[in-house]
Amino acid sequence: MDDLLRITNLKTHFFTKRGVVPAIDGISISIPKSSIVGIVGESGCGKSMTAMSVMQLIQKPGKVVQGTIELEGENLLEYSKEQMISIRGNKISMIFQEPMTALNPVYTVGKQVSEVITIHHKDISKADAKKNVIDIFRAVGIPEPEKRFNSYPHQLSGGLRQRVMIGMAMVCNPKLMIADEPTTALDVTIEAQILMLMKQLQKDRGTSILLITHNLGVVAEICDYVYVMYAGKVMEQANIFELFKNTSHPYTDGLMKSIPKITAEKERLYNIKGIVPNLMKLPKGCRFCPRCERAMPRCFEEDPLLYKVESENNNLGEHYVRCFLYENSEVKENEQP
Amino acid sequence: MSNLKSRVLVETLDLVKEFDIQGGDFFGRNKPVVHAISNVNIQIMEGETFALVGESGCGKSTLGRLILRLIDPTLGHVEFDGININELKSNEMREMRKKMQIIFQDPYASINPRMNVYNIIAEPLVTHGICKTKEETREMVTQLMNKVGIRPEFINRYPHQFSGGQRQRIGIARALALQPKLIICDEPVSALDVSIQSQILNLLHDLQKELQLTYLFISHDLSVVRYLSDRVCVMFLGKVCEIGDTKDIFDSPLHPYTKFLIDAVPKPDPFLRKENKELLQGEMPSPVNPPSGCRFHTRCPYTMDICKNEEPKIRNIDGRQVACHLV
Repeated sequence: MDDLLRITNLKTHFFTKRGVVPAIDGISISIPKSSIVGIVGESGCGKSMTAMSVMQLIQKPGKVVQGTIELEGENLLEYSKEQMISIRGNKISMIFQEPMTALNPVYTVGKQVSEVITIHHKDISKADAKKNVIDIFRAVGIPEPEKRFNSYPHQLSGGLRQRVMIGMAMVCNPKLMIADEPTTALDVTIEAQILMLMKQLQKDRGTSILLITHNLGVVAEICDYVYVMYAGKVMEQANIFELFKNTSHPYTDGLMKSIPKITAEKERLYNIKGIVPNLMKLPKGCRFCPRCERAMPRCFEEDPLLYKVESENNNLGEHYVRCFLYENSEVKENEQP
Repeated sequence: MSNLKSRVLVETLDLVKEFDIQGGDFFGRNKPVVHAISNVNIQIMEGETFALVGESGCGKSTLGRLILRLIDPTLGHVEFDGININELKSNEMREMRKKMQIIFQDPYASINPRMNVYNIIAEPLVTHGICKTKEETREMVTQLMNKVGIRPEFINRYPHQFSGGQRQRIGIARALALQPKLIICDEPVSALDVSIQSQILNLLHDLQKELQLTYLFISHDLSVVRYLSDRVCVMFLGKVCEIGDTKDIFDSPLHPYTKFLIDAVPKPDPFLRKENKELLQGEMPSPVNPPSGCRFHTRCPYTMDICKNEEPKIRNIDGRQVACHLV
């Protein structure tokens, strides 16, 4: 068992007045030790809700209704509130898209980051905490960390704020860092710096990263293994090189073809017709079939399982796809019809 | 497309825009200003897509607003179709605005939630007195809806009943209503999902062919710019770094900033990963106190002494304009 985090058949539903919204509808995700795993998908596919479920930050009317989330073999869903508090920020930490709203504007960044240490290690002295914070600021590439310790968030640029957030997430040496769209609000040159920093931290400290993004470019830059989600389910999962070389699901294929490539000429783009379905009124059968170009009559009747795709790259992690085009191969274990 | 026609539609002449900000001493001296746009000269040809790219704070949106004359420049002026629009009186300017329209980034914020589709698209037609009768207006609105791919039976719906992509289509229909020559697209697809983004980009592409539109395309997304534009202008801190044909700029950037900008874009291909990618260090300097000499010299790895003291002039090299001492 070398998986750090293993999510099995997770379902998170929202019980609204107008009906049940199955935001996550049975997903299984594993994050091996010291790896970067990506989840890609469009708005509403459930990628952020996966992160919130792991952190157990789902608020009413949402609820995890099924499944397990195991961190090193222990099911987090059975933990008490107090136990979860000792996990958050300590073993699993999280960084968010908008670093301005995630930081408190009335405290200095130094104070906010030391708070994380003092909460999890009650016996540490103030001076030691400060020293740790300055060390982590240096590690995440904040210039003049001693001076920056006393800065307020509004005095820092977007890129520096995101570095502070990463510092805050890394200060307790977590086993897993969840990054929810960490670079979406940043400029390209700063985005490249932050991605490089995350990769560096993973290499130097062995922290696993769960990277949640809508940008296939970001995934291609730093991830080892990727899950493609659509309307609450995993449609395809594969090692990053395999996913790009041997794209199997029509949805993944459509996504890849619809992004304008910086290397390509001016031409008409491919597009996936239609829009993401309303989760309360999911189509019968495969949830992608109304938009799928290769849909068969059967796709409108039955929901496909995750089938294995044979390939030579499978030594880097297996390739599964939720599509009847591949149903002749074996079904992924734990899959429930 | 740009080769066929070479008539200049829009030209900015030594455009400068400074914004006053709080500060200065008791007597109002030494008031700090934000140097949003400094001496920008660009020409947009009829029928082309001219892209403005750069990071936040480089002045690309300000330049768009100056061209529409939503704000007045501190110095310099804008010529549209050979007419200096900064000298026009307000009624003449209103006539002029028919020829230039804008599509905004956020389709949720740029459309009035209390108006239905009919009223949104009909408003410019009524304001400018294009359509005299109700029947005529309805006919025109229906035509526009068809053109942007919204089913005419949705004419009485309100914006909240549409998805982000459809709202952006409504915004496009509103911009097309007055049959403009120039459409300024200010980050039109940044708020949309990938699969919807390509639908809108294709729509813009098709409309341009059909209606011979000229686009000023403002974006921070270089992949989109590469796909859609004929010529590109790269801006840094209120100044032009480089202007040229899209292919030339992307294939062989001359200005170091352009090169780093293109290299920084995450490529959707893991086989192109570079372990030790050369990254641009540091962050954007403040536009209140822009660096002396070349504004890029504080981040540029090739800085020479001359860069710190002397501002590089824009030079023409092989049909391109570049502002750098190196070339």
